[in-house]
Amino acid sequence: MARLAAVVLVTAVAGCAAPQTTKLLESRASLGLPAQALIEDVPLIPQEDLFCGPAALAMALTATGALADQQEVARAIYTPGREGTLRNDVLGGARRWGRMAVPVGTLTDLLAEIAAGNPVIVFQNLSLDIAPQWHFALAIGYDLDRRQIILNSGTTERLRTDLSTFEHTWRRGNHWALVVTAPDHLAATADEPEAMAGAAALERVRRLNEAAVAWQAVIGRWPDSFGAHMGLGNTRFAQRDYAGARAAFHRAADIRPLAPDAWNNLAYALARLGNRKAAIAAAEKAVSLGGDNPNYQDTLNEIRGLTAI
Amino acid sequence: MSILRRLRHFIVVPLIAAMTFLSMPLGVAQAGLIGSEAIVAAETNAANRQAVDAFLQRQDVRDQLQTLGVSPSEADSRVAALSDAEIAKIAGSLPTDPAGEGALGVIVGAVIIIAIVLLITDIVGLTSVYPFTRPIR
Repeated sequence: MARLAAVVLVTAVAGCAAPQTTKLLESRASLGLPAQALIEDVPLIPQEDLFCGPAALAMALTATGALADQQEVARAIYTPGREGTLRNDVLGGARRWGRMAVPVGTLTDLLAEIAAGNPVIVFQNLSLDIAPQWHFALAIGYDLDRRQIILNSGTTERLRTDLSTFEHTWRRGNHWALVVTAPDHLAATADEPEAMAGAAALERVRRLNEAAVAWQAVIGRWPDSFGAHMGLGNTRFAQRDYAGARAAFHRAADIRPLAPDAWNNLAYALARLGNRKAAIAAAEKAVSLGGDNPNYQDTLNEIRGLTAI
Repeated sequence: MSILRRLRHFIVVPLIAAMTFLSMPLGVAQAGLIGSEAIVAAETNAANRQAVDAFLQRQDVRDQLQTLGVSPSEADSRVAALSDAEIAKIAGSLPTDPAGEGALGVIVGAVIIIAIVLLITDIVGLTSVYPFTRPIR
């Protein structure tokens, strides 16, 4: 029996290096990460029974200045029948609190977010694939010299976990991690599509004020982002700020003059502002640029019809 | 006769109008703002395709393709034939290289064995089930 266990163990260990940790520690110097980082002001919210997901999200939300307690978060994201919390519910929950939520997929990015002051919700399988023990925790620090990551996990504050051990548990959770930030503050490692998806999701859950702020933040980092100017225009339109929407769509059309979508949406903003002539001209432009897409023709017809009423 | 004529005015004419209205295609109009999510999806698709294209431009990737017997131009045309969803999948898996996949999946056994294995793997730092263990390095 012991011999069997030993054989199993040797096989297992031989096959299981922690590739990202190894690579990260090897290329430490070139990554530009500080050797240590700890986000100080993220107190532990000790998880209640089965509530690791709600506790992790509540801590992340609190760190962004939102008011959220564990029970309240649990009502929004916990699934009693599964005795646990689904990952997508954590993602959606962050957005329902008006926060930007952006995924993180590599260990380097995870540590970079912590170094930038953004705690990261991590999903782990603390056990093996054959007997999974799923867990959410909040990563708030690391120490490369001691090869540790620091987690607020379960009922333990600042739990120091070996980095390669963490990587194994995280890999078994499919490398799922989420950065939750205030809408005016983008995740450090977010790329443009990820940031835009986060902002568009705020618009979808009708957190329009936060969505507008988030679009501005995306524009702050990528000033020529066509999608962000379009998104800002749509959000302002939904807020009935038609002049603001017009300005945003105009900017989008400046960035990409051949994009029919910009002219299509601009036409609606102009129509709402009562500028019939300009609205029709914009809609016609969308039609001429839009090829055989019938949406633009419908827009033109609708806008011509509006003024007849 | 005159009653019928009056009926024609009050019934038939509105009836014709109603029938005409109902037979018009309803709900065809697709007009409206182009939504943010549609725009983000389009932008993301473009970025994904760029990422995959850039990946295929790398010399080491081209060398690997050559040894697989796929010419760079053939690879380009294969990628061009993929849908947005498929490209997204490829783009998502580009930066990670599969290494060190565990042989642990083959371990099947009684709960007791699992518990022992977990204790041992905790000690060597593969798992983190028992809070009292510290990994050795």
